Amino acid sequence: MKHHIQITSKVGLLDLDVQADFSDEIILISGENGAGKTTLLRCLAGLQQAQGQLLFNDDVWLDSCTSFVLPSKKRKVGCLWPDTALLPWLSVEKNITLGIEQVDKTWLKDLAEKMEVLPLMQRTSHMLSTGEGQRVALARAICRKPTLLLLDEPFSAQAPTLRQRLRASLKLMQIELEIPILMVSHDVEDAETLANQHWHMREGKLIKGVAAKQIKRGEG
Amino acid sequence: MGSLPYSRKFQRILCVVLLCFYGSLAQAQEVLTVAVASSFYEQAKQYKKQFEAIYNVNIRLVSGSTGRLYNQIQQGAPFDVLIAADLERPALLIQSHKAETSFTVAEAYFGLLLDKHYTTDLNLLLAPNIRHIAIANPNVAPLGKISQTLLKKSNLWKVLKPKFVYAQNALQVASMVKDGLVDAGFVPVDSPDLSLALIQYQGLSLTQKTSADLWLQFIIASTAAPKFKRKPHA
Amino acid sequence: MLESLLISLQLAIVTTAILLVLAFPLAYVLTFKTFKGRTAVEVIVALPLVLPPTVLGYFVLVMIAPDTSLGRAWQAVFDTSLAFSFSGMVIASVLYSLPFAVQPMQQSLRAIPSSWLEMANTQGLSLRQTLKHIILPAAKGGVLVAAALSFAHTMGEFGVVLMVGGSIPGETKVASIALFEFVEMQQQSEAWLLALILLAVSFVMLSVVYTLNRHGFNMGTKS
Repeated sequence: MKHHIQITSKVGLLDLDVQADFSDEIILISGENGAGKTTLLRCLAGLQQAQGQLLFNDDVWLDSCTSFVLPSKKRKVGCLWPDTALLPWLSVEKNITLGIEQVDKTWLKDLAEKMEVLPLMQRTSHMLSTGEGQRVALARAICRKPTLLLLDEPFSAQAPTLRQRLRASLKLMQIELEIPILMVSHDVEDAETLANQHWHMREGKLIKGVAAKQIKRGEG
Repeated sequence: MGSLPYSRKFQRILCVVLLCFYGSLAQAQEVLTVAVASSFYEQAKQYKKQFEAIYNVNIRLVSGSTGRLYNQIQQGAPFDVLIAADLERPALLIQSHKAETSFTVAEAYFGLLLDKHYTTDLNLLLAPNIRHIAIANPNVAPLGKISQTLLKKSNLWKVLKPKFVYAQNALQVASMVKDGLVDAGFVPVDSPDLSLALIQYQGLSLTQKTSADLWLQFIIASTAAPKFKRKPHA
Repeated sequence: MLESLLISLQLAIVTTAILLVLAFPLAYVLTFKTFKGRTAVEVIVALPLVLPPTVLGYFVLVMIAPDTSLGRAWQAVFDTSLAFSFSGMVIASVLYSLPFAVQPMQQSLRAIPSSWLEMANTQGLSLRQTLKHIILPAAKGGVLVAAALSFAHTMGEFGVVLMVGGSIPGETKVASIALFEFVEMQQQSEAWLLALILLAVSFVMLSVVYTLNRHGFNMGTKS
């Protein structure tokens, strides 16, 4: 087990308390609204204050014992939120490569192909459809080759057939980059075909090993 | 509990009655709007206090440069009296039938305050430590016009021009000098020995109010000015 | 008359230039940084909106008078008086139009969605990159409006410059004062001509800026 999470955080009425160990795999996070899924991702990204320990490979991101908090900027984390935060005045390519000094052209082209945004590269971002924008944001999260990928419902705006292809691409990316992916989703297909592990959250706590059928019915 | 609504009603009626009473009281007192040249303003304030203590008249003082007040009167400003610092504008007002006569009501001396001292030597203005000289706009303020004439006569106007700072009226000149914002300027002086100029103020009644004449006579009486002269200007 | 117009234009341009440089960091700090006394700073910035212009002008004049430390320092360095000079007018103008520059900028900065700034964080953008790609493009509209308002406001200034400038022809007699004096001296035709020119200049200036500003981007969220 290479990665270790042990955090608590109080956000409004939610008491987040999560403990988990995992390796480089795709983990699906499910749960009702308000269960703490997004809060968990935000804590990992450093956008939300939390106490405890966060360890990714040998990098310490958070250690309350030594009062150490690594700021978001230094965490090398790739994020995709429902609000894609694409900059409308930049082209798709510029958005994807935002903040990266040296861009590997072959890597970029491969990534754009897999995310099915290659034909859009020179388009100005404010002219994209919701689905296209989401894929661009996904590409942006992956382009930096981050240590951890946090995805909040990454395929929600995609048509079913496209979703299948994207799942396959994501899987390939994960194997190539050897990074963990934490993904919030309500899609059963994601759980069945993509995820290696499944975490179910309820009232800020983690419940493991819930069957796929139960996600669909919103139980657990 | 039943007495409360009555008390409220009574209070309201009392308020209305008092307001009417006060309103009528206020109306009973006459209001006289007096426009005075800025250079006369300080004196006018004193006279107003004394006048109001004797007569049941409420005086509203409006001050400005004589030129500005003249313009306003021509444009229909509701002044009852004008006290002007020159002779030209009263004449023009009589010409345009805004007033019947004008006469001298007061005089004042003006001198040069330079670097916090009074002096009659205009050449001192040439000194390099005198950087700014306040001048009332000669086009609208008689004191400014007088200053200009004096300096031109001494061949100093052109040479001093770079030092001039222009104020809108005599009061502004005086306050600039007093606050040390300029190094020199023409201000009122008490003694004829220190003076460089004399302004004779002309009083004009612009409406037919008796209180207007009363006011002008009051000023004359208070300032041992030349006797009340009815001088029709052609 | 033309001389006064030239002075007004010079004053407006110099004041606007200074304000753009001064107001942006101020707006940035007021929007993104919390510190003790932030409200006090915001109130001070907004004061010229409610202060009578003549009061502001007189206050500046008293501050830069020849016998103050500021006045003396200026005299020592530049060998001229700061009071009743063009530079003195600029100081008063900058203070007078400060809220007109800071507030539009603040508004456009506040409109930046927090999700964008969070994205800048998680993407690892440096401050320079954040300014270049996110903050400055987003603030463009506010900056343009700030420039337009400062310019127009300065062109129309009267009470402030009357107090602080001394109405010296060729130096501090701006068009609005010249106009006022034309009216005082009953030179109606000159007054009208000058008024129309001032109106035309302001109209053109504002039209240019608002046309440029029409191509703004919607910064709403897109999921």
